[in-house]
Amino acid sequence: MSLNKEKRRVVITGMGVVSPFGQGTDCLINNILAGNCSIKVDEEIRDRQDVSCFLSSKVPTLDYSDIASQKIRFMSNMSLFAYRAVEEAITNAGFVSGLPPEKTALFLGSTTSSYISWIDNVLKYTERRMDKFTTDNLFNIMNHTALVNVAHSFKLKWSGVGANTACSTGVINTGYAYLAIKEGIFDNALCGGTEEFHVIMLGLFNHMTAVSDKFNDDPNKSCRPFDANRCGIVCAEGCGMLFLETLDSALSRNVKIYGEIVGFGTNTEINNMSYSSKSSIKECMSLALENANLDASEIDFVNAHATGTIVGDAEEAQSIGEIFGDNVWTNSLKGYIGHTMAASGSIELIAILKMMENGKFAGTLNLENVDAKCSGIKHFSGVKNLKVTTFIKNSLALGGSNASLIVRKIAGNNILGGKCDERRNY
Amino acid sequence: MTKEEIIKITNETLVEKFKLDPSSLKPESTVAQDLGFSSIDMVDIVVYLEEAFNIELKSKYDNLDKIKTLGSIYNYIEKTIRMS
Repeated sequence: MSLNKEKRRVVITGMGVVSPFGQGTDCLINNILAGNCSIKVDEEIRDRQDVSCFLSSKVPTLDYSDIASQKIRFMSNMSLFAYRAVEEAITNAGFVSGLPPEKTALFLGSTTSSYISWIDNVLKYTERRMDKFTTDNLFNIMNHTALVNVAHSFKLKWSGVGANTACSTGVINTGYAYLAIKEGIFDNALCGGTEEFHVIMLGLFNHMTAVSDKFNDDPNKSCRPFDANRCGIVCAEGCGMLFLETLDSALSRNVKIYGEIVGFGTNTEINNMSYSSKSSIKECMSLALENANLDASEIDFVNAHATGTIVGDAEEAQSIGEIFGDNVWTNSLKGYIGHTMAASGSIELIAILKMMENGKFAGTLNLENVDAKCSGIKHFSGVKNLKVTTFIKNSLALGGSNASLIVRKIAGNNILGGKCDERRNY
Repeated sequence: MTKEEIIKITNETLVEKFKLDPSSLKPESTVAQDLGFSSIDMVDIVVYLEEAFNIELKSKYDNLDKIKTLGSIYNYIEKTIRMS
């Protein structure tokens, strides 16, 4: 590997999603634009006395019977979701063989490894039955379990690495894939995040009083980013994966380009473990703008991380307001699907790319009364027809791992005479 | 326990744990070629069958490489049960 002296332009040409609405990118965007909400009362939680939230947003049962039996036994849900999302992203990127180019790097992570396997291991440990350990419970507790399962399934023998930075995983992996391709380290990459729900995660957020627990009887209203009556997150699961390549490669393959990644910023909040402060989010977005060599005035849409927590939403709203003022349309998609944690960044990025493609943008669900602490930015509800050419997507994690990604539309896929317009030609 | 019961429980265990097609489970099926079991799969199969039959097979690990067919697994379990 050697670094190219000339920076390369990086575009998104493939996308794949498994969301609480089901399988596929179209399934996700159609449900969001229809104003649907995937959050439901979780019957497996309802009778528990140790949590105050009975809601979840889970992926419906999907058919995995086509996956080889020897592979599937090492795959917990996070790997299965990633398998389906990668499969769609590869096909969507135009690789009819079902396999990406041989030298495709993989950037994939999750918040934790499989709780179910950990629980089984711990039970055997406490019962002094470690002689009954099985290897599936080893491969499922590795931090990179989804990454290696995907690599083996799709013959991805090139580099496989993954940030596992909780709720910013999807965007951080996309950002580092972008940087690696831009610098000439890799030519192509599959990137994103994946997450499987377990009630333990809900219980931990419950302990921090960060889950929505005032809407157990009205799940569709439970996740309300920026709203005055918001009371926390709803735990969810899923996977979002993107295929990245150079602009030259995409043009030579004559494939659809969903957008060009032009900027990435990442930093760490060091004063709070439980939320990112306004100053650190501002710094993160500023880093992305600097990386993109763009002025804030050139951003015409903001997709916020906003999960519905009281403190986190206010800090992010104020940071957006201080950089972009009250003139840039801003939304959060958590009200539709809940918080898919490690997958949230890449799932929401894909949703915004589809919105930019279609010119139809979904506003923030359940935003009935904007909280005074979240005012000062340009909120909206319902669906708006917007001509967006450049957006920024925020992704923030517990522990303070922040990421912001800036994506620009390749003007109408302006591929004229085999060349693409320069990105400032709007 | 009859041989038929051993075959039934063994097959049910393998179908459940490895999502195998029941029709592929024949005594002459080779564990590596026909059923696709790796060495890692085989050590797990020992645990799964120990739990299914409530027996101890671990001391027989040394003999795992001698198991070539599904029929030899049935015989292995039958012999272990008879000796226990």
